[in-house]
Amino acid sequence: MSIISNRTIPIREKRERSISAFGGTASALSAEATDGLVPRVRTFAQDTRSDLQSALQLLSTIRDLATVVHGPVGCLAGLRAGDRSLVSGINQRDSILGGDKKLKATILRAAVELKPSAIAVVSSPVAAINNDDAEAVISELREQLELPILYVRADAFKSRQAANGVDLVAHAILRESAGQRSTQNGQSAVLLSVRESLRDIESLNSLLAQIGVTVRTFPQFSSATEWRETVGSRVAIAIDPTDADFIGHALQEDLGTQYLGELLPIGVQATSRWLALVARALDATERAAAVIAEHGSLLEPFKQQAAALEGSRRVYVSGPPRVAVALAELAQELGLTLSGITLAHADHNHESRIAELAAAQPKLPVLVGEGQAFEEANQLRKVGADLYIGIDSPVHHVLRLGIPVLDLAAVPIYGFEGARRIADAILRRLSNPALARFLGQGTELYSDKWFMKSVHWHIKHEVK
Amino acid sequence: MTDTHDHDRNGCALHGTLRLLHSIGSVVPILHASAGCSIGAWASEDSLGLSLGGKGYRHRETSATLLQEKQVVFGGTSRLREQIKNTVKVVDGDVYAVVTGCVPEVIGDDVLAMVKEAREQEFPVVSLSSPGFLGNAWRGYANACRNLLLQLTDAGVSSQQDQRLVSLLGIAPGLDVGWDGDLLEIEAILARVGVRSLRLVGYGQSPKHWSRVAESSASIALSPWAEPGARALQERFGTQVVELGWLPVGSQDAGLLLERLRPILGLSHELVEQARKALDEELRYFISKASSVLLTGDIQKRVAIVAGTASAVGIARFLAGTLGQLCGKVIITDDPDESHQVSAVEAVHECAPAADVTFSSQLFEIERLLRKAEPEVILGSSLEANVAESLSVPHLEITGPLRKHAFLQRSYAGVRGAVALTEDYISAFANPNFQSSLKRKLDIKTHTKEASL
Repeated sequence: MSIISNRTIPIREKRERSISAFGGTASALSAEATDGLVPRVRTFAQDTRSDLQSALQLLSTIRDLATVVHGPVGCLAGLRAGDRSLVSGINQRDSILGGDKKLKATILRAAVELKPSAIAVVSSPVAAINNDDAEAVISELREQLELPILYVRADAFKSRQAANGVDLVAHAILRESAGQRSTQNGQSAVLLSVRESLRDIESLNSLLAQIGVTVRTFPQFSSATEWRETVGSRVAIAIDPTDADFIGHALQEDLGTQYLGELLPIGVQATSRWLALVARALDATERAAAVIAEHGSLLEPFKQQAAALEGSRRVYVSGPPRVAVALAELAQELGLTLSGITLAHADHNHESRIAELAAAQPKLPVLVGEGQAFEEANQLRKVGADLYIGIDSPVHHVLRLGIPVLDLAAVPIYGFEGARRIADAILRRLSNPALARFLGQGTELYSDKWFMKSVHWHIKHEVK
Repeated sequence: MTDTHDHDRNGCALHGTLRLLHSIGSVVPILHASAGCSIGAWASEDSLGLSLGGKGYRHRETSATLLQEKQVVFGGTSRLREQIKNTVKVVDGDVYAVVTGCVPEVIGDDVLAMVKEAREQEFPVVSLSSPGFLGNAWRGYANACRNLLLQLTDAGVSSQQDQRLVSLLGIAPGLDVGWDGDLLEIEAILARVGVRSLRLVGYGQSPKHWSRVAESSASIALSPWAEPGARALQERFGTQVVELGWLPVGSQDAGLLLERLRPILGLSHELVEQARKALDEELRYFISKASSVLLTGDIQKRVAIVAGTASAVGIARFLAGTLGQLCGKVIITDDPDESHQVSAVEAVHECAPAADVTFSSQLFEIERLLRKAEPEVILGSSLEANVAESLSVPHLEITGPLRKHAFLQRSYAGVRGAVALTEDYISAFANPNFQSSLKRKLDIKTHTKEASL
């Protein structure tokens, strides 16, 4: 059945059998993954991003697109200068009587004020509960405005995983653009980007240019006017397959696009393999071999510096599943020891990576979950670390333990340049941990009782 | 609250409530909502981690029920019961505050029943209903402050009022970006006349300070958003209200605050006058260092200010009334009700009679108003950076959302704050970004002119 033509898509928990709660060892997780990961719930949790927020984050990068959030004003948080977004502002009365009129007025205003090439309407929890007939409003205004209007059905309560939001956006864009895509261009390739930074995209573009490959980026940093041409590309290249798989498989199954979704270019070896894969698909093998050879010993100076550091060098890594594992491998390549890992979520696609982790360190402590600082605080107290590497996640719980933090949200991580920058950042943090030591002498938030409990005390199997 | 179709920089009622709770030590918020509501409360600072420290600070560790579809359909009270019980086990706190977002209010969860049950088990739990659709974050702060005051003070117990103790209300944590430093500065001003303050939020504050408000002789209202809390204290304890309505920036308004406090607390005229004189002398000493820059540097500019009531009025009064700047446009963004709008306009006109004071929180409208006003400098949030750039005028961040100006303890209140504001104001004209932006514009104009010759 066509992915793109379906009106809705299953959430990741159903589609990929993805879980977002686990506490145990790598071998336990690997054994479970073989038979099918078991959904769990938390009886204590901390707030984390929702699919609405990750959808908005992705949409905000698309040029010439206006975003209308149908919800109370707070749903459009994180307003920045240049944001092309409005909110319908559902109030108490609307939550009882319906907010369709407000939605219509807001879409019309977006068209007038922002003059976009397309509009994305994003639902919210209140709108989803109210069952406002947003589709009818959108359908009417598509004709009136003669503009593509997407509908992103975020609600913050169907899926536990914020990452589901990017799938919703991708699906909405593909539904809009796939039907009228331009004929496939034999030379064209598209880089599938969902959450990577602009600097990372520029770095990867630069790397691909060295082997004579020019790509468009989709859906992040894309242009709404170019969607139809972009989805007609011959080859789709994933950066992080965990996020790109939905789009890549949809393009492959529905439109016959060749999808390269096996590899993640973090670290020198992984980047080399990724580049070689892309080069084979785009007839650039010789040029790629030369580029790969040029960067082969990039990490050697950093390894020497790491070896000269005094004291223990245990690292704890936290992040999206494939990214976290890749970062752990890079840190280990520099001579650090992995003391534990947090994966934001895990699904059947990660089975082999988890198995590799378990084979290398069967007793490695593993957490699965996004934004659950209390779990990590408990874990870190037990396993210790000299450095915590994370991406755009809470970090104060780590600093309170006196552990230096490297947040890679502001550091390019992909490609050869990313490997160099990560290695440099790791060494800087390890060379002077004064800030973390100072902050670590403050007051702890969590109770002593919590630290005495097992890290998965509050996690139960989900009862359907 | 105005209908909002446009951008709204003020967030929602839930955001204001959460910011208040996270600013009180050993208060543990328990958010009963779907995922992401508390993340949104700090999203405007997260990109650079400024003002509140973004994700480096404990508000990214908010206990939350994370309501799922099953609970939306069948009710979330049992999930809330579970979360309350386990929060008490996992997180140390003196007070646990259950805060509701939109979803449980729409589906009709009986939150009060869960809170009552928890209290019967002797958990120190309070309840704050704060669905986002009730209003903006300022309104959320005001209502939460009132409700918290009522729940943390004991109506049945009469406390002896302390004639030298006051409560400070109306400076909203996180919304007034310098809130922590502002309250410390105001505390220091009051200390000059022997008055002690209950700041209630920020450094060193905890529920025990809230439980002492019954002893305070006066509530000082520093913005329109103090009113619900001040009124509640007046009704319950007879606490008098000292209305200022804005942040006192500089010696004149710091002195004005003392003067308004004088009859309420029975302070002597001489004591207050001595304090006012000392404040003037201190400010004059430091401002004098910059007087040549302000005069011969030709820094007497048409100023536009875009901020909430407390900051907008306070800063406008200082810039016009002491620094002699020309406050042409003041845009107040926190949407106060009509009576407070009238007071705000009067307060600005006392020092800047020609100022055009308008009220808007809408991004596009504010941009249009600023372009029409043709200011020579804009003091506002990061949202005003684009229009400042396009007008080739300096831009100084004095309110959120912030992108380039860190507010950790920084304050514009009192004398020290006024000096800091003067430093920042002068520096805005020497800012290399502004200078290079101006040069680019001039180069473009020159190039265009040459090309056309």
